[in-house]
Amino acid sequence: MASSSSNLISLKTSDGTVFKVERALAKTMKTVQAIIEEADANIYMIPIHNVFSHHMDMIIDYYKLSVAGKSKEFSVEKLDNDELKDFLLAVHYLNMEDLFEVLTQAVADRLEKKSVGYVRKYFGIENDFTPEEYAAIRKKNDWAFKGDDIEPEEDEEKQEE
Amino acid sequence: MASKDIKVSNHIPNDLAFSILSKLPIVSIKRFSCVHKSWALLFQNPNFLSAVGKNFISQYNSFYDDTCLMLKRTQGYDNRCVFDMLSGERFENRVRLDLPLPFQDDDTCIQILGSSINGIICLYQEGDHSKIVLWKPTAKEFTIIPSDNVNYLPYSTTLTKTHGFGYDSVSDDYKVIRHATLFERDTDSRSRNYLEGYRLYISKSVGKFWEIYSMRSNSWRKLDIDMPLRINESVVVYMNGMCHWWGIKVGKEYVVSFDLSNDVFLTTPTPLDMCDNSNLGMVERHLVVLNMSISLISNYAMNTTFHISVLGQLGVRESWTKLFIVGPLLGVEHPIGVGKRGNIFFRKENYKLAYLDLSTEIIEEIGIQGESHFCQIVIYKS
Repeated sequence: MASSSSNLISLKTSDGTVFKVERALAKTMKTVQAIIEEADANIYMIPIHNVFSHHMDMIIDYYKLSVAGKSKEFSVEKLDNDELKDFLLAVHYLNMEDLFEVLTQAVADRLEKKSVGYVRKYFGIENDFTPEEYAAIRKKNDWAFKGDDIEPEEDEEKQEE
Repeated sequence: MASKDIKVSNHIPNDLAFSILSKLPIVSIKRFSCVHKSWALLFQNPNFLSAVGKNFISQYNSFYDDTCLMLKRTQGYDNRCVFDMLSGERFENRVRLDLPLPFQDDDTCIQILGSSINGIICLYQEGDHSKIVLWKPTAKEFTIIPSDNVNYLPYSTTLTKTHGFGYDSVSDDYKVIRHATLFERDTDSRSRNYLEGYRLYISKSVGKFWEIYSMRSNSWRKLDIDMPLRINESVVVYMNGMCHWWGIKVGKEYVVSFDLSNDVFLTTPTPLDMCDNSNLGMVERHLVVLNMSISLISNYAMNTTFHISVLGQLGVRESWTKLFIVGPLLGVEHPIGVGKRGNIFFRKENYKLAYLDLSTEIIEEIGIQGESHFCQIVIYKS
């Protein structure tokens, strides 16, 4: 068993900050846990790529709330959509189950009424439909585009109803 | 999935996209089919469907807080009815209900129309739908809906069929919808007891119309409308100011949705994927509400594999989305109702009642037997 001299694990974020976290918190990060288990000797510091210090702050917040049984109080409201995506990618990299469920649901809630165009940009996906194919699938799902609160498509805004 | 995606900063990997998409409402997922070809194919991926289904079923909805179940069972050749209220996580708390006065002398063939609205249940008797009672079991109160109707002609016999009980929030009124067919009066008194029996084919129908009862005015009003009729004693549901039933017109089946606030109706044809003319046989359909969405449970007759589709948008046939295929379920007959969290109740061949938990696909017996075919379970909320 790889043992450190204390019950704290040192994690170094992409921006160079070192966080000393409880072993129990490190255990919720499957990626980190795998690194610890694979190491034959004591690990002094674990670098976590793609994770910045502001992500770690929120992760620690979430951890403290869930230990106190108050995980429902955790909120990402103050993050805009791109910051939320960023955070989700960090948590995805760290492979943290519970927080992952919370964040994927939060992203889904943000995207619910968005346009197809917005979603493509958000996911970094290019349209691979030909114009004919797009017209066909657009028509097939036309009912899903109707609704006052659904974001209109950029290229369709010009057409008259 | 083949990745022809051009990588931009913070490109979201496919497995992550899958997790996010599976948490969206169906209408959004369908709209986003237009994002990319691989997304259009998602609904054909059983793992994706399973994830969407589980998320759909477990979405919290405050409507289901503080609800229990009302169970109606029949006994004997004449289908005498008993009502119980079931509560508790495993439905272990059972309270036998006393029937309201109008049914105490004749407790045969009572049907529940819809489910509870503000603690009120609508009951009627099969065969002769003229006795309709609104019942509040928790307060032991009831109201008899008058069956006399100025719309009926003095020289005719009327056969009515109830189609819906609901609450119109616009006029703050409870309403019942009914279809009436008038026949030339038959002097033989037995004819009133025949449910659509041969005698009625001999009598000439002299009129048919829809009518709606309003509790505020305590009277029936004729509707100038032509809607598909309910199929036998199929389930009727009420949700958000609309009554829905499974109806048939000119041999075609529809979900009929009637808006109580403006007397306007919509029809939604059956989903395209299962049809009667296939060599697998007739399709049986059960209309239910799953987590506040109109849904259809379909199975080929004599087959215990159930296909469950959720309607994305009333009136739009293309918006049926098949979310679950469960089965074959051993020893199960047909659905008798739906509880919260998408628990579907069945009667089993050994007469025991059980429910299917859609999130785990496990069937649990509830330790109650239902003697004859005509069990009903509805959600009760006082």
